[in-house]
Amino acid sequence: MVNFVFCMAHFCEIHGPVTVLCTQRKESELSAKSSYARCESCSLVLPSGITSVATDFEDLVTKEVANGLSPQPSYGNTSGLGAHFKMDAKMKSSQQEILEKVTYVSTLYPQSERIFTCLTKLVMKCLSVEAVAEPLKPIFFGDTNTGYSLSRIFSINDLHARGGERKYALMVVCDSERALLSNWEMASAFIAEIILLLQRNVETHMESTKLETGENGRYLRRAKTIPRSLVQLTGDNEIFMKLHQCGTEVLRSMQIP
Amino acid sequence: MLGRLFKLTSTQSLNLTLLGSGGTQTGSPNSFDDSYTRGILYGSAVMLLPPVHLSMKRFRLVVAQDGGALAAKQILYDLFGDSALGSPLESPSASPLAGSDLPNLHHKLSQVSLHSGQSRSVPHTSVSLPVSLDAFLSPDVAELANALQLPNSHYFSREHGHGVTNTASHGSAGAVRMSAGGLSLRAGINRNVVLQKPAHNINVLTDYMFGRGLPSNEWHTASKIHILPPLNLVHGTSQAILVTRLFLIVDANAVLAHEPEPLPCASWSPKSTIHARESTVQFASQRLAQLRLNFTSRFSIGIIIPFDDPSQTVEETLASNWPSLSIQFVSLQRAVAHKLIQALKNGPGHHSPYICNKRIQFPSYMLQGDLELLIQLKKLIKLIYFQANVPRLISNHSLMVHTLNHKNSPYKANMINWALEVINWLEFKDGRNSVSGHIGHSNLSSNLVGSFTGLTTHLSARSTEGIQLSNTFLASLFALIMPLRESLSARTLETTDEDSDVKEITRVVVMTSNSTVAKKLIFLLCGLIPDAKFLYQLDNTSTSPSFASSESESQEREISTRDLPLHPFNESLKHSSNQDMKVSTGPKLETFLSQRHALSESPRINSDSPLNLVRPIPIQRQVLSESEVPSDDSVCASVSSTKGWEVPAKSTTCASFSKSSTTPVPTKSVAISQKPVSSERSGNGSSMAYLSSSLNSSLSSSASNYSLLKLGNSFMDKWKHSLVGSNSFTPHNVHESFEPPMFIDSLRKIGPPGTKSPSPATLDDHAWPSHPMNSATSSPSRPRFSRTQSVFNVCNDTLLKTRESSLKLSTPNVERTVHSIIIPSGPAHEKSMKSRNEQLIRDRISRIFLQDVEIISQNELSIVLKDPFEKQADDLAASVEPLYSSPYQRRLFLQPHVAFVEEFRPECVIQSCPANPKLETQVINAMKNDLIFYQNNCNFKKVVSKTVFISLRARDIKLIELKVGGQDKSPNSHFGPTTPTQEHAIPIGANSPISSYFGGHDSGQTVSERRGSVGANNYKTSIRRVFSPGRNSGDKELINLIENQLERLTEVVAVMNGDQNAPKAAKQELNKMLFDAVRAIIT
Repeated sequence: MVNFVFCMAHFCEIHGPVTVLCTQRKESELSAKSSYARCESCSLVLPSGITSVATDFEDLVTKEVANGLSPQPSYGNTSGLGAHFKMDAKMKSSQQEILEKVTYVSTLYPQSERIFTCLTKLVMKCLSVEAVAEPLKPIFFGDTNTGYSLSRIFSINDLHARGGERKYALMVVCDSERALLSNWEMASAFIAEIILLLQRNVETHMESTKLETGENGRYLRRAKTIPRSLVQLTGDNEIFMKLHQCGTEVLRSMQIP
Repeated sequence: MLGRLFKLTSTQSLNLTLLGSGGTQTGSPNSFDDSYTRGILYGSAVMLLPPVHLSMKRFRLVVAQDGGALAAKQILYDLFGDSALGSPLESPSASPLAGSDLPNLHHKLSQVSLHSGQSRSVPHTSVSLPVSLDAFLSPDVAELANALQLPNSHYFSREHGHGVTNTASHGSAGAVRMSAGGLSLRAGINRNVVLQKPAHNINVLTDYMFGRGLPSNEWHTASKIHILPPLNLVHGTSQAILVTRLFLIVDANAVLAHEPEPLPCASWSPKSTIHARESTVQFASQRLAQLRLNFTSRFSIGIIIPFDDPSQTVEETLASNWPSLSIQFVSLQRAVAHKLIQALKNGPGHHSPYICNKRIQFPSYMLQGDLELLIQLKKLIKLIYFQANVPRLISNHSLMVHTLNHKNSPYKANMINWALEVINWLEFKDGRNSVSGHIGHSNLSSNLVGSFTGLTTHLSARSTEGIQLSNTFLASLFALIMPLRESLSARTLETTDEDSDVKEITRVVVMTSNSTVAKKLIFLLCGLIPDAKFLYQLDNTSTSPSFASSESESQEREISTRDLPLHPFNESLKHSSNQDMKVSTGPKLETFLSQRHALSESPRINSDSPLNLVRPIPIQRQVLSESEVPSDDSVCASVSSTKGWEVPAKSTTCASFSKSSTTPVPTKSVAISQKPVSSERSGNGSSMAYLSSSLNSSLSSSASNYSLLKLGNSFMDKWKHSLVGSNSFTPHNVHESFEPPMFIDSLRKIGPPGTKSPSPATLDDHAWPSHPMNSATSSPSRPRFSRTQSVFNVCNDTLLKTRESSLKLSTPNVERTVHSIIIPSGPAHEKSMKSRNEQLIRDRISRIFLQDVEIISQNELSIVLKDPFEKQADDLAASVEPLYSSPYQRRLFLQPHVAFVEEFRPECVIQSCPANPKLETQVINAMKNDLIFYQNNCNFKKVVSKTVFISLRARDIKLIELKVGGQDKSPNSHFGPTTPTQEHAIPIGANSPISSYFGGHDSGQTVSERRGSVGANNYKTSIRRVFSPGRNSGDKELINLIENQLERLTEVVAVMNGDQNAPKAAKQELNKMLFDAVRAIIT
């Protein structure tokens, strides 16, 4: 079974590398609201009291099939394929896709303790350890302890941030090395497009804010660093819900080799 | 003259060894693949896969260590080492051997040897035995280094005997001119060239490899892939990626004691592709053992792979081959770790000189002259090169199963081609008559009414009456392959899916001089190997009309016989027709035809027949009226197809381009001659060379650009075959009409190694006897050709004529890459799959950002959103696609089955290779490497490596089996106890090539790589000759079963061949019989 997680991480000026949004396929009921302390810039900002966003799909789910028979309806009424059945039944790595109702959930951080530990390490490495060779290209890293990540770091301009920009990362995390590599093109294309639109929205919002407030000449003095979330930066109250929809689209498009 | 000969030979061997250095590999002109061969093997008759050019000089290997400093890392090995000599990292003491001439080098080597382990003034060198200089240089490595423009001084290193000889040398003054083994190396000149070579800064590379964080003690091996910034070269930019393996050498006990494995979690269980053990060290000395837990150090191996070719992508170049690449990375890592551990342990006295401040610190460039790293890099380069250029085969088994299960499958031609190729093989190679003369009227008549009872009875009667001939090569091979299909279809190399302690690797290797014949055999074998994923995709996507071949292509290929020009029988047909035009009409079949005609008027199809379990293929009304049913003795100008004796390839070509100008060729109705003719013709007739579907085209296009010398064939032979070909086939140039001549020429010139072939004139039939039963080969070729055509006709006649199911019996051109096919395949598009997906992603993400979010429900803690791409009811009604279909096109990686490669590639499961006396040894060595790798690195308790080795020249089949570990002996069940077996246990001694892995040496150290059990250090080799001329030791029962199935298929085709005027119902029955015969074989 291959598991993918879509994650948006942020290098918070107060809390360091943290996850902001984590989208994954729902495995179990979500736990109660967490008391995990976060500032404005690294919080998942949703309507009041809401901690998670979900979307239900009719989706193809890859299942380990023990006998290899059930997902092949086309074989059912065909004679002469008994031997093939037997052969498939012996295949150890038979995985088949089954149409199921699947729910994709986005939360601030993974509910699973194991995934939380691994994702925290990967986020830390991504935002503070790994050197980026090409800013416009994703990097791949990981090990058998934490899992594997295909990620790209990007910055969003913010006059209230240290250095005038905030550092984010979009990550597609997987527990299978080859599965993630096999989805390199799709994942990187999704990441690039999401980053482009996010940055464009922020720029558009900044331009409009400048016109409204007339904040010119800010560069002459140091701005006060204020934690600000993407909602404030983009001016879009639904930005995290849209990111959740992007994350679900990314996860749905991942293919298991 | 001899000098020139030697020079030529050395140049050739150099070119063969140094792939990509001069582009000689890609420039082989001997590509005789035609569209038919490409179609059946690769699923695309017009496969445009330009070869990937890899610049060998842009590969780079870097080994570095993290000594603890934040800003600087120590380089232990750098292939572009000279460019780093001026870096501040270099330690002056790191080059003890700054020799400028050969005697001086000898002297210093001996000094190092003598003082190794005693003098700490040369801390980076650990030499146990002096080695002669001549022994240092293996030609391969020297050539490789020469091509890489390495300084010569870097070669002088060798692992020898019980220790490692690491002698780094950076010649700094003067030029070292050394002649050893006929090689002359000039360091000074190379130095200048290397210094001019643009390369990424080594400090930047180490930043990517280690990261910029604080050194951590995570002991799991990490993998990284960076896309490097382009290098500005004189002639443009150069793209490259950096693949990194980051690992630690830590104490084994410390790892186990302080960092237990995390508990298994169902929702998150990280797995690498090749799960290898970590590099650990364990000291035997108690005093050294006290140091454990006190040192850790990170090491990193970086491999820069050039990505200059536009067709190279991460997915295509790396992901599709990641298992085999991972094995190579692991091997490289093990080699580095082994050397480092050896150096660590070779410290004198009580502690290692390399452990200071609780950290391992080797001197810079300690491994610089290491030979094994160079060899490992060479393996990696060859692996990448072959993988990038050898296309994988499409799963014909999946296509056939899909055809059997779906009446509207567009892959029907694949199944028919497979069936015909089986019969071709039986007829031409195994000497079985394609048209059995033993079939009586009653049996065949009973078949017509829709039952296999007659045939079954007939076959059983034949077997009991002793008519059954000696088992054929093909049946024996199929019987051998059948039990191995599971292993052949599984992911052989990966370890992630393995739950058990047993690893089984199975390969099929065909050795032949004639790649065309080998490809046919590979095609037949691929019809037996299932690919569950591919079949699943076929079942779920091929219902879409877009998955069939494009509309324009379909129009051109509407007539079934248009595929016939590409059929392999063209050659044999023409050849034999020129020599023997006698055509006799079989009286039995004539009688049968009359009976069948009577049956057609009053069809009495038994609805309770077992055949009715299979949905019949509906009869398709042809354009012709009933009276104009295509037959052997008429050519229907309206459909622009020629029948019977005409060479279909040519007629098809003409038909597709000028339908009205096709001239009917009246011929007489011909039945199949049943009489065996004199055996003097059978030898030629059974030649496998005549199976070549491309001989005519290859010869007609002139052998202007292929090397006879390389083919190993005499000029006279070539000339003789050229004459035959030109005389016979001059008016029938096949695919030059189908495809632009430029494409053919360019393909032949720059064809990748996987598509190039030796000349079909290179016969491989010396050991194949002139079978007395091979009457068909000596008979006029008319019946053979008619058989092919008639099978297509019968299948065509059973097709529906509706627009939706206007299936064409042609090989659909599946959109594909070298390693994968694109699913779902769409209509021809100018943009690549990547561009299409990116556009779709852009649209969908933009849509998400632009539109408002719709909330379906909301509770205290969560909200549920509506799917932004949920189809409306109107859309659903209009859409053919199911609700859950993904809008994106994806790659489906094909199994590592290839048709023909220049040399044996262990990563390929099914392959054919040129005849080479060393091939079997190479295969066995690869199997030994399997045992070594999976047992030592992946903790498998038992490793079994099997290879079905087929030598077409010797006409024998061997099953080579090597296994290590495990206590039980589990021979293959299908081998009888009387099977002659050469089985012997080979204890691995110090002289064995794999002794270093099994602990044959290194007796003074207790490296943790070694297995604990002594018994596990022995491997057993079993070589069973399953089939050889006059001897068959396979599973008789299974072989006879397959023999009967093949015979049944032959008879069905014979009936189809003999009756072209059969009514629709009879054709329908024949169609069903053909399908069932194929199904019985492949399932």
